[in-house]
Amino acid sequence: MITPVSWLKDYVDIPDNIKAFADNMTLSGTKVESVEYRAANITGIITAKVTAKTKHADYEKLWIIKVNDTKQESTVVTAAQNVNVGDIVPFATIGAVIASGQKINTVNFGGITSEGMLCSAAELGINSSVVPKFSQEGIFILPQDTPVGVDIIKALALDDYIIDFELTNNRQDCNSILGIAYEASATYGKKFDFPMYEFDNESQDINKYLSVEVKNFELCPRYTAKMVEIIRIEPSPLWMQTRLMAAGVRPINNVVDVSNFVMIETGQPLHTFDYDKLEGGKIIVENANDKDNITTLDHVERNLDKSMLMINDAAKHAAIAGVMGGGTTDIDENTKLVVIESANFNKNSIRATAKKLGLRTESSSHFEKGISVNLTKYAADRAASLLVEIGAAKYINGVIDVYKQIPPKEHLSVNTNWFNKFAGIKLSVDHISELLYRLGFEPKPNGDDISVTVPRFRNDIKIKEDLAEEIIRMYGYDNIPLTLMDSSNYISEPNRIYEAKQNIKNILVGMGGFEILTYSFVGPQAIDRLAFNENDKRRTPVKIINPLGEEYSVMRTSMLAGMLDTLALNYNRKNKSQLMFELANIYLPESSKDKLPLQQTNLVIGKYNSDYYEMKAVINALLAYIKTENVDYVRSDENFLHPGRSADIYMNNIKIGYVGQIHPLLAKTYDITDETIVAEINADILTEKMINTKIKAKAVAKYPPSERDLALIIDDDILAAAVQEKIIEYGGKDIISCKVFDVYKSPSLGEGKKSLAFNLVFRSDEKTLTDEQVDEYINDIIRNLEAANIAKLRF
Amino acid sequence: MKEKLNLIKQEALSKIAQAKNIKNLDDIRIGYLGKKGELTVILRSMGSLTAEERPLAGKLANEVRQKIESALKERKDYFENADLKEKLRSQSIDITLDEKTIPCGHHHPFYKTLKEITDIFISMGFSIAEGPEIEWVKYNFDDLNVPPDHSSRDESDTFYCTNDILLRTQTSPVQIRAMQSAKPPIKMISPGRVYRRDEIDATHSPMFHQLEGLVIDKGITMSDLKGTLDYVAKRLYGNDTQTVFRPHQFYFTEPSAEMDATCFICKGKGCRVCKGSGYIEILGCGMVHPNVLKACNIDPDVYSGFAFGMGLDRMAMLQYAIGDLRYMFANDSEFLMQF
Repeated sequence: MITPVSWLKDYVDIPDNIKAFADNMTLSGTKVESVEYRAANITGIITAKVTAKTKHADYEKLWIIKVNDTKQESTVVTAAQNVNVGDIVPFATIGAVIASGQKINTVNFGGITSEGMLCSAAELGINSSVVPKFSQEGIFILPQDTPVGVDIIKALALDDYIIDFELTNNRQDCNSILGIAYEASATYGKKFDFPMYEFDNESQDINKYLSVEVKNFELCPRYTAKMVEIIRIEPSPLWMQTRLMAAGVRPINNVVDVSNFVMIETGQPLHTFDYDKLEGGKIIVENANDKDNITTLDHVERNLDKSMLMINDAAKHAAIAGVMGGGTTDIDENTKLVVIESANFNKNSIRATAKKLGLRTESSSHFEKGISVNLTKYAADRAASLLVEIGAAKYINGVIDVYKQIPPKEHLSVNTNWFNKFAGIKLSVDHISELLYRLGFEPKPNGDDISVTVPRFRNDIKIKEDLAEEIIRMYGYDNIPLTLMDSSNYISEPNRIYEAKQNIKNILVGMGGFEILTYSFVGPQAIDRLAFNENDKRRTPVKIINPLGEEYSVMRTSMLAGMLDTLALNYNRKNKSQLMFELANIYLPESSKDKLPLQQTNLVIGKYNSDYYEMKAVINALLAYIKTENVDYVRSDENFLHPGRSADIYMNNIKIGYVGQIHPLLAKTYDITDETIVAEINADILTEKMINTKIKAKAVAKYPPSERDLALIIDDDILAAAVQEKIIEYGGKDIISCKVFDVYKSPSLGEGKKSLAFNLVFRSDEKTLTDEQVDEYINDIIRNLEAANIAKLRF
Repeated sequence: MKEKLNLIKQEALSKIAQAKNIKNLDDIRIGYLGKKGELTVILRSMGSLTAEERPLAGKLANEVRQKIESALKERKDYFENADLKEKLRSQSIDITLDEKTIPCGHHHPFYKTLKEITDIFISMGFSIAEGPEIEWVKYNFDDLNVPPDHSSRDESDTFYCTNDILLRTQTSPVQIRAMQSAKPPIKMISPGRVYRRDEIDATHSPMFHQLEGLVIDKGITMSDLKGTLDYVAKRLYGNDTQTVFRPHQFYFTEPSAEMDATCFICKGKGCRVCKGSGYIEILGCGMVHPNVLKACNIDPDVYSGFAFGMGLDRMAMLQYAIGDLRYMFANDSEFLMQF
């Protein structure tokens, strides 16, 4: 809420120290976003009247202007084209400083000495969008009733502060000068009395002209109309223009200005109709029909539908209720009778209509936040009285005020003991009552209870906790002591799964991993590229109805997309290859137990310029820490992986993920090297395993191990793990490990053969194994392998 | 005999002194003390001496033997020491080289900030709870007392999967789930990803992170809310941190507040980070709205509580002076390496 302090001062005392005022308002609940002094920098600019205007002899576009400031006549040269004799203009004298901080000196323009400068709005620190249209480009032509020869700061009331208050959703009543004045008054300990504008309405002359019919009370709970007889449509007086400009609104003419003025002051949007353009002297508030249309004030034809509330006359649409008027019933210079509409419209209806039409106006944005139904007549009265006050119109007696019912005042009760216990303070019944009274509540103490009548415009106060907030903010949030709750002794169960996830991250960081963060949504093409098999649930991601764009439109079913983007970015920036990982959720279409998509935590790891075995080592180290047993690597059929260099990872015969080099075709789409290795593992299984693993320590072995190396010749397509498994099977009861330490390929081994060298370790818990016993184990292994045609001993 | 022994002693000591290396010393030892060494031979010939001469000669011979032995040892130590020194000298390496590397990983800055904050809460007896990111509208809005017509529910603000299912806009639904499934006392925090329909720029992202907290018990007061969160701010930013609570509005709390803390960069003097105010906005908070308690079958006449929430990405950006939110999601290793 843009609030000129001068306007506020019409209604409430404001301390001179604006910074302190702003801080106090913030602390009492009306947060100050910014404070701006309007006349910052400006000195030496006065108002002057243009007395002569001639063209510069040598320069086509320059004008030589004579201005009179009542003391002397000065010559200025200007390039502005909008200055005419008789205009009153801001004149920066020699030595003056304009808003930008620039100092004005005499300047010679082709032989003519300019003894100062005529100023534009911007040069006075005023946004050119709020000055009248004819002053928007060029010099700021001041209203004709501006006194000549006075300091511009005085003439335009620039010795003023603009405070921008940030309002919360529930306090639309503060979206008005009076609302802010109410808060300011209460902040400084005084109840605010709203000014009254009501006047004698005994005769109902208005009924001779106008009738109002509301057909949809749900969307229009109240419609108030007043009428005035126009004396002259003309620019508003200077004081009103300066007020509006201070509040950021452009002055247009007296009738429009008054309706804007009243909206700013009271928070109630108004609309004005030219009575003579209203067919049948009728206003009918009803919904539009589908396929209707209206041309609005901004000359745009709008398509309507039956959800939209309209203001109609006997024959046509006159306005889109609460959003914008129609061109055919607008005020013009010939308007004689004006209908002032001050109505209450349903906020949701206005919001929906404005959104559908793509037409958000000051009026609609006021309405869509919800306005008190009590305001309409108050604002209509204020508008009519202002129009009379500034000499724009004469009253037409009477008011039309149509409503089904105005809700009664709300009554609540608050118990002092409850309140003190809730807030953690000790206030007396009287103290609480006083704090509420400041805000216009009517408190009636009765023992420890206080029954409270809520002011009409405070739609936000519905329960005792609402009252508690009012009391506490008036008492001062800062006066509430700092205490640690009794339940600070209460210690909640730790979340072991969460801890396990942090541990996984720590292990990966320990192995050189860079933790990354990628978006949960991806483009459908990122999923398509992974070419999941027909029945793979990862193929059909959960879709977002209203994504920010195609590339963020589906929830990822694999963490790979974000990882590949990350690797590609780093690869293309020529960053050193690093192990990267992310631990986060994937989302699968199948429903979990409460029917939401399944949300599973996955670990993805990736590295370019790497190889399969490096990534496998990382995974093995992680799995070793987790104490997994029965881990198997089985050739993977993931289509996005290199078929010969990828594996599915099994734990206890359950697939927990994959590891492998990405398929060269996928590498190409991401513009990244073929030597890019990725792995993705279901982290929910890992964390589950981590929290359930119980370690029971074994005693250190008593007897020494015996090692033997064994070189075998096997078919090239037999995997080491298969041979290992057999060696363990045939190795007797004392074999404790079997590892490949060398792979050798040579034509000398025979067609399609390779040699694997195994390191075997034997140990008994009962005795030191003799060489003869170990030899026997080795012979058994070789005999069995050869018998089963798996391998031959290499000599 | 005596002269002979003395002569041997002198000869031996002189040879030892002149020995060039351990091998020389070994030779000397064998020459005098070995099986056929000069001193050994003499000692063996002791039998020919008289009973009177024998003890004297024996004593002297032993003295000579000890002298020679200790001289040998001393000299040997000297050579060994010199050898060791020479070995160490020759093994010297260029200690400024990095011939091998062990990779050093890095947590994401967001995670580091999150960890600092969660550690504080855990030390205060809070537990961490997580919940679905694709969530029911009911848990994200309805049960949190957000009016049915509120603009935050609009498709322009919130991502929807169906009419009833959305991407959570806050981690509050985790608290709703906690309240509906556990009995008070509840002391929990819920960090996690949240989603709002904001275009990506330097300070906005459609996905970001929140940490919300909740305390429900009998007799929880607004002064408890202030005291607890003030304590957290002091733990985070130092004991000289001051907090200010400003009235605010949230649908799920009443009364509601925003908490500012003294800017940890300028310590309240005013700087670019705090835009000259000396304070930075840390979190939103308030006493849990009775409608929220009721929606979770908790009797507001018996229990009260407070809730709070903060934007973690913004806090990490402040903490590490990160100028652009997009860095947080770009994952450039050169950037991540700093953390």
